[in-house]
Amino acid sequence: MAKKLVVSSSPHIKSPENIRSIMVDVLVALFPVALMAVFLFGYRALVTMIIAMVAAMVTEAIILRKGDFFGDGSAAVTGLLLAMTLPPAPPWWVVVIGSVVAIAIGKQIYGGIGNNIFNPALVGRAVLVVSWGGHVAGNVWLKPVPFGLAADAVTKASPLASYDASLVDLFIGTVSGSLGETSAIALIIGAIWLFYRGHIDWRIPGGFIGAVFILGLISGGFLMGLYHVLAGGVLLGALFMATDMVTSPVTKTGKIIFGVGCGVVTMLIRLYGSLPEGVTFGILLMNGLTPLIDNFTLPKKFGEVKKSA
Amino acid sequence: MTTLAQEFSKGIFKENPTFRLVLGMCPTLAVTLSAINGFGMGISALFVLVCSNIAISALRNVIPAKVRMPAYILIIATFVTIVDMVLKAYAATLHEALGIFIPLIVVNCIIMGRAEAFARKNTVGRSVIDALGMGIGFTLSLTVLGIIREIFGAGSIFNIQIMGTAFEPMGILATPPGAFITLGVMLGLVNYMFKRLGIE
Amino acid sequence: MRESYKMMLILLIIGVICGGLLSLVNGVTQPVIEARAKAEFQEAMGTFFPDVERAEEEVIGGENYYLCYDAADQFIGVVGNVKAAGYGGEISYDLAVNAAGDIVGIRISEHGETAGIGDVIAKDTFQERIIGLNYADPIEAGVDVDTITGATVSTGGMISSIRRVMNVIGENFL
Repeated sequence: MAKKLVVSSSPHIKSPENIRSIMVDVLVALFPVALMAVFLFGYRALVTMIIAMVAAMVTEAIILRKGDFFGDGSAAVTGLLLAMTLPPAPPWWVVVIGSVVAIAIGKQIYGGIGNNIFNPALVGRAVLVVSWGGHVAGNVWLKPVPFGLAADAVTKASPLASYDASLVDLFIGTVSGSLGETSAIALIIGAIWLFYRGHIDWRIPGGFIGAVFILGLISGGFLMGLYHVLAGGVLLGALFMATDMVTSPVTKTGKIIFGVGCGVVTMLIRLYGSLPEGVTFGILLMNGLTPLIDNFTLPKKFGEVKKSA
Repeated sequence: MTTLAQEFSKGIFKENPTFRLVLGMCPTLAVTLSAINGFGMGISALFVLVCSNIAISALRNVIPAKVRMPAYILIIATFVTIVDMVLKAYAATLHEALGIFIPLIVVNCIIMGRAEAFARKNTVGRSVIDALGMGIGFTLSLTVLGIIREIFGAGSIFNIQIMGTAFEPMGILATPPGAFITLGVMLGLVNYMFKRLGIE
Repeated sequence: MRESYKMMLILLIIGVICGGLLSLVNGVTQPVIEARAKAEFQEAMGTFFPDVERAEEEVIGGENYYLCYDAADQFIGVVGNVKAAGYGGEISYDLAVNAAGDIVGIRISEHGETAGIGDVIAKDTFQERIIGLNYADPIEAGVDVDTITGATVSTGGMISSIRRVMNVIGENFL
């Protein structure tokens, strides 16, 4: 009976969409990426992903004191996204600490889902990069061997350090790199699903990839622009990280500013910084600016007269 | 009238300068790289605090209100310079580690704050108790932060290696962002604990 | 007016007392500080040249070089307090060269290289490649000294900086 008389103020839009359904969609979108990672780097990629997801879900369940490990699915997504940014076979404790930091300090400390300022997975990765650079960003890349169950243990420099990979390899993913960043085609397939479901807006990835391409083009011509887009974590960051609903602006202009900002910072770090890759810090920095961007790009209220400056 | 015991304990719990009042953040964030640095900073501030509280409360009827600030600065700066010289002569490694933050004790909010809020209105005895409480509270907080950052950031405690060779230090705790993260987490934990224990 | 004179007087008295106190403490600590500074310097030079008795400081191109002499006033070597360009900013280090032009010691005092990668410059594995090289050697990355894989920028920067410092030392002191 109680449900028959719902009195609340407008708007009354009902949608079957909830956090859980969105998160499941993201997991589905990450499936081709994960598949490609296992295909290229072997069972160790799978182990890394499972460790990251389980550690993230357990941490969230402990902090929230609930038995439902999957919950709304956001911890699983954070864990998987974190694994995507890691090399194929880091030590297990590095993965666990990354997941714990991502959930505890990246998300729950701010009050849980919806309240975090920074992308949790990237917070986890940033802590790992600064703390154990040798395990996460040094000479830890495995040489990909398609269909090889165990990838060749020979380590190789990331294509962003050597600038020697072919564009075709970068597109398919047969280069060394983090689990989820090597294969452009798998990332694009995953992102198409998210576009189709309406979870991501073209403006953020558009601004991000556009800025990276143009700055790459200025630094070394058309092919260099393309190289910068395909190599490293730009596609993963632009399509799956920067588009996180919680930590990116809501206004349309804001989204473009946000995307371009991510791209510019990424390229500044790549070209002039002391790290080979700048996607993590580019996105984190723009996450911090999100409230400010939203504030400046609020649309004029209907009927309001523009204030004379 | 608060008892002397309350006057002493408030600096450690209820009005802990680091975790409750959030004062003196500059040295807190900058020097807590190791337990010994945090402890040294705390003791230096404790010494200055006790001396300046004694001097200021003793002179509270002599110093005219209008020029009290310059007078306080003179007094505090004198004691800080003494600490600086003594550390340089007898504890050179600590002096080097604390660096600019020793002279900066002059402008530490805790010391100015206690002079202005307490010593100039209270007797010498009470001012000493107050300074001891505040100084010990500050020292304890800094030492705890230093211990945490040293254990995980360097694998040692008071410069004694405690972690095995397999331990790989968590480098971020040794960096400035690590200082902010540790302080933030500790602020939350300490206040949660105090609430649980009924210390408001 | 009387009140402001009184204020000035009180401030003056406090200032004088503080000044007196400080000069007193300074009198006690100053000799200790000086003795310590001298001992520290001797110790720093002593790790490279155990026989060092005194050192002369020379500044060339904004960097300090210490010419070391033994008890018989014989020139035994130079310690350069110099900088190299690394991957994460400047690397400050001491390079010790004996009178024959051999590198006898290197000590990294400050660097911002990536932990676990570029920080090999501060480790023995890299420093062993440097020690023993002579002024007359080419000291060139890939020729007689190898860079360390994965830390090419850090180690390469160090090697080219050492060449430069060796030139300075060779032209000025040897």
